[in-house]
Amino acid sequence: MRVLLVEDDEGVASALADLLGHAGASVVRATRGTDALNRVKGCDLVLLDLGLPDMDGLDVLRTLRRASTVPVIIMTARDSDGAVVLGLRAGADDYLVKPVRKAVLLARIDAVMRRAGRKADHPAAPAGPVVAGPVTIDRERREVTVAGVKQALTRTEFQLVSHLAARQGEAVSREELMLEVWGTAVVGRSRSLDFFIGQIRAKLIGLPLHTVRGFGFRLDT
Amino acid sequence: MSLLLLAVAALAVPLALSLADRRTATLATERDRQLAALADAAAVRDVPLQPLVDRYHAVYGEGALVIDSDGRTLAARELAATDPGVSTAAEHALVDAPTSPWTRIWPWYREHVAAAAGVRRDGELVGAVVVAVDTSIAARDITTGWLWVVVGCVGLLMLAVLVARGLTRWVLRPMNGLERAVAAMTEGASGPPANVAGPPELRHFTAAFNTMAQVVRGSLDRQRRLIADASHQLRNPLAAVRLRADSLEDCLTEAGQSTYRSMTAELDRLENLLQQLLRLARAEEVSSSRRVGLAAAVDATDLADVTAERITFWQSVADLQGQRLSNQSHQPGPVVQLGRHDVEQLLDVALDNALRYAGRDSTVTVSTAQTGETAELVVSDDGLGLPEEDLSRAVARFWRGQADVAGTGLGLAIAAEIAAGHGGAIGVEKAPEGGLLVRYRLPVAREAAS
Repeated sequence: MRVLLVEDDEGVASALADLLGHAGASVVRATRGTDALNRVKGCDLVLLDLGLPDMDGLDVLRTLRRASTVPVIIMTARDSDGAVVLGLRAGADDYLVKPVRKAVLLARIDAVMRRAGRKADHPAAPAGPVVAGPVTIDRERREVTVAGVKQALTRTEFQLVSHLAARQGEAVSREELMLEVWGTAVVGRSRSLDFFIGQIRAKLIGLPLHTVRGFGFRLDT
Repeated sequence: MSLLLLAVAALAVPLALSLADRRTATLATERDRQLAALADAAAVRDVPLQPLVDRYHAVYGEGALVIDSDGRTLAARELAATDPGVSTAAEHALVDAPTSPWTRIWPWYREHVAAAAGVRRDGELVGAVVVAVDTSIAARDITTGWLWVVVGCVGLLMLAVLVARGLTRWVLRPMNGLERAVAAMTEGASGPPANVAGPPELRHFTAAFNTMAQVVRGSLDRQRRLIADASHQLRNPLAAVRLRADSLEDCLTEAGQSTYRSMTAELDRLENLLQQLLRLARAEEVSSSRRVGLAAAVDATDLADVTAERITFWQSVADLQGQRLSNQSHQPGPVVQLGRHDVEQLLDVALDNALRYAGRDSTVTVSTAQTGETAELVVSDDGLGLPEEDLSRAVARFWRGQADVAGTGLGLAIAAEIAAGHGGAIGVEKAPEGGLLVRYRLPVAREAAS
C-alpha cells in the first residue's frame, strides 16, 4: 500500500513514516500542498495535515477531489466541530485530531481502506470498444477509427481519448485529466491540455467532445 | 446664567438712559426754538399779545404766558403766573439766568414742564415768555423705545441660551460617548470606538483614548490567543512523541515496562492538559464574543432533561468506584438560555469533579431550581469536601487540591468561563450534607420566562 503523507512538521512526519513503514506501507512524503498534488498519482491513501505552509489543507483536498477519489484521512490539530464538518464536507473520508494513538490510527486506516475497496469493486470499466459518433475507440487494441478509417494518435492523445471514453457521457474535470496523463492535479496556467484536446478534435473529425465551461470535458455518444 | 443677565443689563440700562436723554434733548431744542420765536414776536412794540398766545395754544396745544419785566401778566392762556413752576421759570428768565438743562424725561412723566425765555427789545429785557411744555408725547416715545430695548434684550438672552445649549451639547456629547466606551471596556467587551467630535482638546483626548483602547484590547486578544496558539503548537510535537512512544511498545524489555507505563501515563496527562487548555481558550473566545453581542442563536435547554442524560452517562463510572448518583431534578425542569452542549459541559465538569474527589461510598446529588429569571443547577456530594479557605480558590485556573495528582486544575475554570459567557455564574460552597457543592446560576430562556 502506498500512502501519501502530507505533513509539514518534520517530527510528526518522520514518526508517522516510521510507524507506517513498520506497518508495511510504503510512504511518499510531501511537505507542501502543491507537492502533494504532484505526487498523489498512484497512491492508495492520503494522510493530510490541514496547516500547510503554502496553501490550506482544505484547498488541497478540494482540488484533489476534483481529480481523484483516492481515500483521504485528515490528521490535524484543528479540533473544533466546525473544522471537522468542513473537512468531511470537503471530501475527507475520516478526520483525526492530533495527537493520535498508533492503534487508533492504524485501525482508522484499515477501516477507510476497507470502505474504499468495497466501493472500487462497483464500477467495472467497460472493456469493449466505445462508439462516439463516427469514432470508435478500442482501448484493448489501442486503436481509434473514424468511419472505419484508422487514425494515428500520439501516446498522450490516446491516453486522453481513452480516459474520456471510459467515462462516456460524464463530465471529466481538467484536474482528473491532468492527473491521469501528466501525473499532477495542479492545473495552473498550463495550456497543454487544451493543445492536446485541439489536436484530438482536428484528427478525429466529428468526435462529440464537448467543453464543459469552468470544469472540463465530456465525450457524448 | 446670572452672568449673562448681568451682561445684558449692562448693555440695556445705558442704552435706555441715553434713549431718554436724546429724546429729552430733542424736545428741549424744539421748544427752545419755539420759545425764541414767541419771544421775538412778543418783542415787537405794541403788538397785541393775546392773539399771539392764543395762536400758540392753537398750534401746539400748550399753555403760554407773557409777562413784563415786573412780573405782571400781559397775556395768558391756560397758565397763571402764580403757578409755582411757572413763576420760578419766569424769574429765571427775567434775571437772564442761564437756562438750566432739562431734567431727563421718564416714561412715566406726565407733568408739564415750564420753559421760559426773556423778551428783549433793543437789547433790553422787557419781559418773559413762559410755556408749559407737554412732555407726554416724548414720554410715550421713550416708553416705546424702552419696550424695543426690552424686546431686544429678551431676544439676545434667548439667542445666548440657545448658543450656550448648543455649545454644551457639543462639548458633552463626546463625553457621553467616552463614558460609554470606558464602561464597555471595563466590562471587557470591545465596543465601537468613541466618536471623535467636539472641541479640539476633547477631540485629541478621544482619539488618544481610542488608540489606548485599541492597544489594550489588542494585547488582551493576544494574551487570549497565546493560550490557544501555544497549546495548538504543542500538539505537533506531542503527536510525534505519542506516536514514537506507541511504536516503542513492541521493542520493550521486561525491565523497561514500568518506566514505559508511567511515561504513557504522563503523556496522557499532558494530552489532557492541552485539551483542557484549548477548551478554556475556546470558552473565553465564546464569552468575549457573547459580551460584544455576536451571539446569534437563541438557545433553550431543559436542565432536567440534560441532567437525566448525563447521570445515565456517568452512572457506569460511579458504579465502578462504588459511588451513588442521585437525580433530584423534576421534569420538565427550568429552561436555560444555553446550548445543550454547554449545559452538558457544565454538568460534566461538576460530576467529574465530584466523582473524582468525593471518595468511595459517597453520594452525588444533582438538583435544579428556578427563582424568577435565574435557574440553578446544583451538584453536591457528601464526600470529603474542601477546607473553607480553598473554596474561593477552587475556580482559579490551575488550582488543584493537595491530594490531587491527576487533575489539570482547569475544569471549574472552564465551567466558570462558560457560565460567565452566557451571563451566568458559578459558586463553590460547602454542601449541607458535608462535601462540596457546585452551584451554577444560569439565565432562564426568554420564551420560558415570559
